[in-house]
Amino acid sequence: MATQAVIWLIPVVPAVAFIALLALGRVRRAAAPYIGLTAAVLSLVGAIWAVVAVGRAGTINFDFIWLTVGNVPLKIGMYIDPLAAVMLVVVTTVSLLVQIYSIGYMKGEKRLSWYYAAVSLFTASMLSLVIANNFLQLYISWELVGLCSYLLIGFWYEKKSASSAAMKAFIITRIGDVGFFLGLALLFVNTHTFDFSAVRQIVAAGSLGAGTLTAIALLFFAGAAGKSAQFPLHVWLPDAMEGPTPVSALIHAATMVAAGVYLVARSFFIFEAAHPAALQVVAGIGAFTAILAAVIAVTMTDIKKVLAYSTISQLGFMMAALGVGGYTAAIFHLTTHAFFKALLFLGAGSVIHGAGTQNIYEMGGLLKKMKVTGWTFLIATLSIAGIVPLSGFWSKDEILTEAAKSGNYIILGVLLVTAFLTAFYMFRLYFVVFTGPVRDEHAHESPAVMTYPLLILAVPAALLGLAGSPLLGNWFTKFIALPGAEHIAAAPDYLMMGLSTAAALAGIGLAWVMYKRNLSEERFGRTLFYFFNIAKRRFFLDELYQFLIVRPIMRLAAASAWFDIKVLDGAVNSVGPLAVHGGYRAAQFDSVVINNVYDSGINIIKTIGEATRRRVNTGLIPRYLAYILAGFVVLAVIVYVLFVMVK
Amino acid sequence: MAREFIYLVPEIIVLATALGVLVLDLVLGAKRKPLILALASVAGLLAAAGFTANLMGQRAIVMADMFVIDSFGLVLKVVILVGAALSVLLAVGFLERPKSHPGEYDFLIVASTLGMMVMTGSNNLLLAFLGIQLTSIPLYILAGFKRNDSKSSEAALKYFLLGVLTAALMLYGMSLLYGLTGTLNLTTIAARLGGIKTNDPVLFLGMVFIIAGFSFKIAAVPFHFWAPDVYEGSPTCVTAFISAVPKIAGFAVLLRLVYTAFPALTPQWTGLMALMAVLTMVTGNIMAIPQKDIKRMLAFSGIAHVGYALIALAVPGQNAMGALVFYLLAYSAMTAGAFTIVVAVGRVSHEHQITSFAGLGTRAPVLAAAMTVFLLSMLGFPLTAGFTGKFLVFSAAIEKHYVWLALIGVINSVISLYYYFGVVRQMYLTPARATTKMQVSGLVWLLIAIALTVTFALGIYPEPVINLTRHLVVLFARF
Amino acid sequence: MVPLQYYIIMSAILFTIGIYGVLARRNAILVLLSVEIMFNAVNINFMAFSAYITPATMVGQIYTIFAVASGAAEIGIGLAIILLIYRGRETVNVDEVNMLKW
Repeated sequence: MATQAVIWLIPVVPAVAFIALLALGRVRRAAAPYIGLTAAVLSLVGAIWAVVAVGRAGTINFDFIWLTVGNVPLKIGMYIDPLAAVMLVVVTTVSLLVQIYSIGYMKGEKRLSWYYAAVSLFTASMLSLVIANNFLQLYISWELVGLCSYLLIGFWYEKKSASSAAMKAFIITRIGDVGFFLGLALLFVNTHTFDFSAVRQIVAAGSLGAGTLTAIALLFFAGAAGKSAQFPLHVWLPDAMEGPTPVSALIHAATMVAAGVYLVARSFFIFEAAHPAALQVVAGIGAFTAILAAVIAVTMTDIKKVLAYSTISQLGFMMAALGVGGYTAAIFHLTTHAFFKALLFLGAGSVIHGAGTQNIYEMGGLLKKMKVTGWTFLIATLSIAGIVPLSGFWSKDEILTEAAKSGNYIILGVLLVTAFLTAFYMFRLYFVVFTGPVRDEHAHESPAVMTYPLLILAVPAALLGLAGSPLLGNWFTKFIALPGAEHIAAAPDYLMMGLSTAAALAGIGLAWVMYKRNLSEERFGRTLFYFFNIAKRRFFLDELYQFLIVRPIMRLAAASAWFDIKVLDGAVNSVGPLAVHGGYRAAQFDSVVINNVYDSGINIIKTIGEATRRRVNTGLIPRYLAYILAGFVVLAVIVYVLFVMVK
Repeated sequence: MAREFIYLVPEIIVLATALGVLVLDLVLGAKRKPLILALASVAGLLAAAGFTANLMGQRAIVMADMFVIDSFGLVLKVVILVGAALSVLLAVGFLERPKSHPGEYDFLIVASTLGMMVMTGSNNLLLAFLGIQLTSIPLYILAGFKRNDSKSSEAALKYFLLGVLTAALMLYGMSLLYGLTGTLNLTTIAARLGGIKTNDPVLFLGMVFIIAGFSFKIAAVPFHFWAPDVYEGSPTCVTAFISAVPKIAGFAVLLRLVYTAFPALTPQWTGLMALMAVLTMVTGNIMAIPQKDIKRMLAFSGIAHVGYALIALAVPGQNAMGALVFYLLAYSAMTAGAFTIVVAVGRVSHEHQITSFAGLGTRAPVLAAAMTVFLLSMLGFPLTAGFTGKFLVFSAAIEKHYVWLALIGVINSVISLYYYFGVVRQMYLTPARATTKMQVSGLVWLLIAIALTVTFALGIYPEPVINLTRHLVVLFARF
Repeated sequence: MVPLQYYIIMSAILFTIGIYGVLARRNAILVLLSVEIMFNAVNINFMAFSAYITPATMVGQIYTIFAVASGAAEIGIGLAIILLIYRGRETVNVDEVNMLKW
């Protein structure tokens, strides 16, 4: 009973904080952070309590009837299984640390209490999403977190780009939600319940057709793809970086964007019962998103955009894991990713705070100026790159193992290449930002209130993975596993570990060669020139470039001091620049094609509306009279032909 | 006979209120007259609503089978009466009236309300026609209420000419139907249609003509052309009334017509409704996007909502009918709320551009928050009336395998995000042009509070209303 | 006795003339008059059907009386509105009444 009360309080406390902040915020602005913080601490305590309770007694599920429609009861409830418990801890921890960090980062902000109010509302909604015991409650929270995301992306609305980005994020995720909503309606019409366990029973009983289940699964996945920024609905996430950096860390890296993965995990039993094509779609889209975003990340020069694309890529990893049946692997990666990516974002925020710019080429040598930020960033970078024994290594390795086990070698190959690219772009970022000559003498370390959260986050970012590693007997995996699958112990796959480490090291090495040449650039160029010895193919490559590379991109590349002819000449030619150029092309595809589809979609509708209103709604009564009569005749004829004559 | 009048008490009260207001307008001194007359009208309307609610659960067909008393009609009548009362209140202090006869406005609203009550209960084409006329004629005058404003006169002329044309079409259809069946009674029509081939083109034409006439009242495409111009030109209080209340009566009479008189022609009218639903949703949403005037934007958004509601008419069945009634309740609450705020903002800014909402989030935070709730509800955001309504309508469609219709509906609701959030963006993400706080009167707060309560109640705890709507559909005359 | 068809055809012709007038006329009063022609077509229909199909109940005749009455009210309002327009802009040409548009 006490546990139930505690679990109720987990989302309620931040919600109360939201109301309190709205009410008191105007009066006592200075107190705002502490109201938010208190709520976050209480939620964290509650979450830990819940985890312990789940660990002891297994899944907790209770609810009360919210309303009865016809004879169908709709419930509000709490469903804490290991999956939800893990998510609870992730959300509350990151939220707490981000709020502490924000004290420093948002110092002097005029609308500080509004900021904390929105963050608290977000936390409450996200927690309610996580502990929902039915799809309706999940959907409601799902929309609420979207709304909070909208408000927080547009927090600095004086910047026009921020308010456009907020709008775009909301619209694009809503496009995915079309699917989620229809899937929900389809589910309800067929099962007359939203309850997870009831739906699970109905699905297990096999009374639903595979076609219906597949439709529901794919519609849910559309919603998940919108929220988790999967191709082609991923374009909103890079733009969302207009929001304050702590918000990016909380919402657009660790928690909300993972909600899509969570949804697919939650309804995994539907995917499993559906036609295999459903999971194949998930795997395919996930893997494609992973590699596409990784390639684009290589080219970004804005520190936050690199991380945004990295997030998209990692979410693609998780989706791909789910697609190949690696349920636990996906959740494992979700958890580790939440911590190291939050750390990266907060680190980036600290860098931006200290260096006063977001362009990585205007930074450099920051490790000397910002010790804590630099070293914690390095931990997170190593972790995401997948270096033993950091968190990212274990979870990524588990995904690769699952992909190999499923026999889907295309996905496996794509993910391995992505792992390589991940190491490459992350270390490119690290080398450019933190090593090399100091470019800005005024750069300074952030205040303690910002660096302590970094230090705290560095611990799970480095070590959490061990919980799921074979060293500790795959404890995490067993804890999280679906009922009945707990004992399938994943034997350590040394081949996969070797491959992923090789990919990571190759990526780091390439980045080192390409971006850390200030140590001895000529020698490395020459060494590698002999090493790979592909000079003969140079002409061919040059022509290929001429042919393939669009001029503006070439100019951009030339303008960059880092893009030195030596490198182009050198042996690295075969991989590095290809990745970079491929990245530019992908980025171009991304910004030109996908963004244009979105923009032109809106523009087309706007143009149609504009043209129609100028031509049709002319304001002239005779026209209106004529249109009414003509419309009437057309309607009557169509319906007559369709429903009277045809019969 | 005398017993029958018990069922007509609400209508009689409304009639007496209308006449009473006219008389009081002549008798009373000029001091505080608008307020007294408004309160008298509100009292009359609410008394009628009380009596109507009291009749709930009863079923009868009175006045020579012309007038139906059933829970379906009674619920909608209560909504109409309450809506009318709120409209009367909204006008106090917001409407410029002729000094000599300030009661005209109240009289016209009450008279129009009587027409709507007649429409809602009519089981006879003649009565339906008279109800429509009684509703429309006061509305034509109300649209042109600002006599010295040429925009207002223009709105009146447009409303009038388009309205009269569609009335003529509808009458012609009724005459055809009368020629075929020899009766104007809906129930009898259904019975006599048994002897007529359902693919008779004259029968089809008659039905389509009549549906066209009713569709004008609800502003369904292609009979919607009046809506944006009339909304823009009319005084905003009148717009608030026109946009919410008459549509309820229009849907009620449309639903009675097709369900009572034309069960034999179900494929035909469902087809027609489905087609109109798609056209109406698409047109409303696409045309709302480029609008700069908030009243025009809300006009097109209202058209889009009619499209969603038409989905429920296109899908025959009890769930769909319940969903329709629910949607109408939700729609009128959120529309009335939004227009109340438009009135309050227009009072200060003296214009109705969407940009006049810039910075409302800082100038009048509570007002802006309330507007956001109404817009979110129109968008179909969870925990608001709009979400529950859309969910009921779309699931009813999916249940009857009209998945395509639901899909078009949901896609449209995404498009609508663009223009609804255009307003939210103005309020929260655009710096204010004036920094002064906005003063809002207590009356406006009251109206907003009522609309907010309904919007949230239907979103957070819709159980009583959902079950009521399902229940009353069972009590609908034909079931 | 004149066959029923004649009445129906005449009414249809009148109705069409009315529609033509509505579409072709630019003077608001004439548009209104054209609509009235349409109303009268309907009335003829009702009277004819009443006499031929339901002579006993007279439903059609009653209908016509109501229709004429409400039509009169409508005309009254209509003319008042047109007068209002005329006072505002000194024209009753419907082509020039388009301040509200788009």
